[in-house]
Amino acid sequence: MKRRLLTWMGLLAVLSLVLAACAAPAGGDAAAEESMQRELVWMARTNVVENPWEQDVAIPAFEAANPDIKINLLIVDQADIAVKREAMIAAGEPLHVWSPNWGGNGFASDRVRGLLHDLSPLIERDGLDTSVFISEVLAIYENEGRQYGFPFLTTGSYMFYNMDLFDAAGVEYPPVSWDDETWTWDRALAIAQELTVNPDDPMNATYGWVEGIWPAEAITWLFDAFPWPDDAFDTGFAQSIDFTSEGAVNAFQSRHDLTYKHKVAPDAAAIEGLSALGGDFQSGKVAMKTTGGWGWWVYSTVTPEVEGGFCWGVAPLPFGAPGAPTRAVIFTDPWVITAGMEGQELEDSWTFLKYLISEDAARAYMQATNTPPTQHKLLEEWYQQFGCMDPADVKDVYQGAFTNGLESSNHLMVGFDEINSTWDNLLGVFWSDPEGDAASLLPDVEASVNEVLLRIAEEQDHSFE
Amino acid sequence: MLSILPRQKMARNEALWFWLFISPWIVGLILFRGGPILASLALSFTEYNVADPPKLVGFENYARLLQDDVFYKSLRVSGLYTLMAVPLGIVVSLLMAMLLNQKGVPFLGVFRTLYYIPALVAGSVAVALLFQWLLNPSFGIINFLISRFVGEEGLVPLGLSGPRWFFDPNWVVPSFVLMSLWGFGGSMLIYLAGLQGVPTALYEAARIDGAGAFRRFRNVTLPMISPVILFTFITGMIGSFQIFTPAYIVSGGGGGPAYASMFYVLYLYLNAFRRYRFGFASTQAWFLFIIILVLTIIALRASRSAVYYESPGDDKMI
Repeated sequence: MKRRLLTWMGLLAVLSLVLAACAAPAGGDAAAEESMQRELVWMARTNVVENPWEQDVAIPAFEAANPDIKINLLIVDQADIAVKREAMIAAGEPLHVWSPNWGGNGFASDRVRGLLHDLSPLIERDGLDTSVFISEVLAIYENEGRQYGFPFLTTGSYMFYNMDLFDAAGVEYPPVSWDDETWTWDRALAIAQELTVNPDDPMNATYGWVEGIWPAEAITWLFDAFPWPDDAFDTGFAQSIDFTSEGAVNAFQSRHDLTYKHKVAPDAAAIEGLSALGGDFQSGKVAMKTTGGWGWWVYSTVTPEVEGGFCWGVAPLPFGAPGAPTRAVIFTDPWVITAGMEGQELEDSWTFLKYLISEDAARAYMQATNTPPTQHKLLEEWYQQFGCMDPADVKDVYQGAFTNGLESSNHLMVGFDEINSTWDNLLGVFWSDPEGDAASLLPDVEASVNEVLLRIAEEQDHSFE
Repeated sequence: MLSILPRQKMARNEALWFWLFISPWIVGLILFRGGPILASLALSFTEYNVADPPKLVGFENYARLLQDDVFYKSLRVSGLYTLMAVPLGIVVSLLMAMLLNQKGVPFLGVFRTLYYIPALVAGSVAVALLFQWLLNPSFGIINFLISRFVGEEGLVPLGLSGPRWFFDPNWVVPSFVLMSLWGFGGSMLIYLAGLQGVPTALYEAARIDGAGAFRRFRNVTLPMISPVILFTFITGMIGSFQIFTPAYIVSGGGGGPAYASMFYVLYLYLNAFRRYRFGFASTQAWFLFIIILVLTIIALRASRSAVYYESPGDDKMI
């Protein structure tokens, strides 16, 4: 009896499996058509303004024009994106189009590791017009005659300021020209002192200046103390960094003094608190903030029309030392294709990348995200997007960063993550210590970073000539 | 009709069923654990950055690890954390278990549940973010309360102020220890089970002999639950050396300030996934395994005279 029951149950199970296998796929023709599509994996970062553009604008438009290609969008948190990418590559999972500068080490490391496809032969074959791009920006992703990526956004570093706080205190706005030599660290400090209220009471304070230039070494640029060897950003390697020059010591100490000597800036703990409340600058409790150009789009939702909003403007980074030739850190993000692909897979990836950098797609991206574009033509349109600032002023201040700046070390130095972690760890105590003395700390920071630089070069078999 | 099987055949049958039922776990262990374990051992002798095939380098990773300053710093952070968090966790869990083991307390079940609930999310991102906020020196409620009670203008004006918690290298590990106490509910439950297994006759006998509450705890409770204490000590130690999520969240993945939150597994992770040193990171993993193995053996050996097993042979269970 039991055996018979088991036999029947077994037969039923087999029958149901056979029926399931023979059944037509759900959706009929549509599903069949879908199965004929070739799939591309596009990796993007989690971002409230970019993700809707990717999902609702870019992918539908591309798939409509290329019905045989399906885009599988993979959205990953920026801090974890490099980890996910490494895991996918290690597992042999398909990954076609992505950006190397999000999380982890950045473009230089990925280039050296051979992860990026050389696009030059494809550009030449298709006669792609690259002159539409800002040439200096395109050149960042070219190395030894090979073009590895196409930039889709680029920005310098700036001082963002709260116009409402300036107006309320009757203080004149900072200039827009990067060549204005009266725009000095001391002048910015004097303004910050004028605008700071209750600095010892974080709950009720208004701070004059949050200094947030990143990476940490870039504060030295303002003080004419560029710490890298001349060829470091070309090769991606450096034997040493100079953190002990007079200018470098002055730079770090000046930033430290903003918090503890002049009391115009919040300390690290207060910044963390303000950030958790939606952002230090966005809180309306900060008059000026020096930081990377992501402010252009991160602060784009802060307008006088929204509750708690205000008008904000943008100024150049001040001169820490007279005539400092390089002050702005430039951040340019490119789309790249994974190396090692060929045939149809490569063609499809290239088709998609060409679409992403096309004028129409780039315009849609710019409009959706407020990010600065990389094509001359679109820049003129982008300058019009800021209601509180004259477009001519936006143009002056935006472009000035490029003639007074260099691409960021996090994009151009191999092994940046470890370099950054090393100086961040040692400087972290300094930023939190009211008695911190840059002159006594920086030799140790320099020695530790130099040790890391040599290890990175050794690992990559790089020799210094 | 039931057939009567000879004893040997029955035992064989039973063994067969045992293997059949346990086979999914064994297959999983071999495929999903055994494979990676062996692979990591092999990788520890290579230089491997994912993009290129692994390159055999012998014991170079092991030698390099021993010369790596940050490795020692991370070992110190994890060691210090273990030294503080494990004993404190045992004391707090045991005290709470004893409180919740009282008879005649109304709503005891509710209290037990309430005290256990936080353990469900212990070690999670949410708890790390919560404590980051609670312990913020400027805006956190802990320092606010400290200033209200013992600050310059507090109820008892002692002029004290709260520490800078995660911003002061000297306070970083204690802050993580404080955070770890959030998860005491798990061990508390184990202690509660242990306490309920202590025969009441022993307490009655002790009471008749004139033993007070402390003597009963020292001479009856502690020996009787000593295997449970040993179990929570060893699992707690292993867990403490493997702490990662809170350190990653609070330090933003950097291990700062001054490497004060560079826990061992965080440094391992950074080497593998941020710096593409998978071979080196595998070496770190095996070092950790050896450290934990040695400490566990020491703990088991040292516990022989201190742990009481009710029936001979029970010690083989651990």
